[in-house]
Amino acid sequence: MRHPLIIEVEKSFLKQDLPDVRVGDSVSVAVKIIEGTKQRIQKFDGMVLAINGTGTGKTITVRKISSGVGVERVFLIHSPLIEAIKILSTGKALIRRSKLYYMRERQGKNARIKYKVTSHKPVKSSAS
Amino acid sequence: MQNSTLGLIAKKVGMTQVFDQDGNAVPVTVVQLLENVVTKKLTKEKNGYTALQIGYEETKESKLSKAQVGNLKKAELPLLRRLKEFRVSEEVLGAYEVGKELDVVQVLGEEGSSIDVTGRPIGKGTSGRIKRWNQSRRTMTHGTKHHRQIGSCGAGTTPGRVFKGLHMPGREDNDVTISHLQVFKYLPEKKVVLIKGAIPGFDGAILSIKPSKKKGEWNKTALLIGKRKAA
Repeated sequence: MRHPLIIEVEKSFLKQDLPDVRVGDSVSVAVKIIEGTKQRIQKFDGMVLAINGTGTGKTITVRKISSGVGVERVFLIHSPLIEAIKILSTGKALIRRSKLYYMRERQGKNARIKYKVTSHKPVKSSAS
Repeated sequence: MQNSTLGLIAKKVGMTQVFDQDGNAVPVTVVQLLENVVTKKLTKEKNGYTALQIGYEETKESKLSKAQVGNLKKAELPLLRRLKEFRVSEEVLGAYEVGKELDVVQVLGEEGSSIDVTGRPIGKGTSGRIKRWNQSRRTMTHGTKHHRQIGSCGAGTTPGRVFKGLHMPGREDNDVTISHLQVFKYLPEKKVVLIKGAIPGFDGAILSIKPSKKKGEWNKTALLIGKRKAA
């Protein structure tokens, strides 16, 4: 169990406006990339396989297929380097597992999950 | 540094990670400051040395002896359970009054300053030379009867004794000081200091925190390392 004081300390570092990302959601993560003095935003679109950690250490694992190769990235979602997280579609109702690691073995049409059509409007978050 | 040896008493709460200005995740130890009230001034005339006695951990009157209660009440102090002395110079001694609470920033310096933290690590009890001194083990098989024992510990007639400080098995839970840790952030309203990196001891352990002893030298080495990296 975490100490209440630690939770209190972390509060100021947490983003308040993050969308409620769930496992199975298809998301678009905007990552700030700093190259020397220049700064640009790179987007990473994929499916959320897992959510790990709590507080400032909360991460999401996002998987996408990039030119035939599966690519996974783990994002610290409360990091200031994550500009925004946008939910493209949500697959919550049809998923019973908390970790979708089985998706790694699936290919093509099987590598999809049935998405529920929801009224869930994507919320755009801005870095604090 | 004016208060070169004055320190503070704090309690380790636990570790977490937070973000710095550049967005890097930084591992920090959350440390809660205790009362840190000056309970006594030790002077050269009376005690032979100059020091400040700091009290911490407020308790009930029934938990203390009558002598302790008498001392604290006489000085009009809260009922503090534990006392610790910090040796200070005479000027520092003059700057403090009995009953005054120490100011964190004044003692440790601004955010980002270098500090030394002393604490008692998680106890390992009596341990062997392998665990205690990182020595190596002999083969467990092939008929050997010597596995984790110490080997020879000295010569024969000359010198006829074992040298002091020889690495041997023994108790391994003495106080440890970690030097050159960095104050990451002060949270004065919560009485919390975030210190970059790990600190000895279990969560809830009592620590003493002082400004870094070898500050100048440390900065020089840091610079050198930076230059080497750039080259």
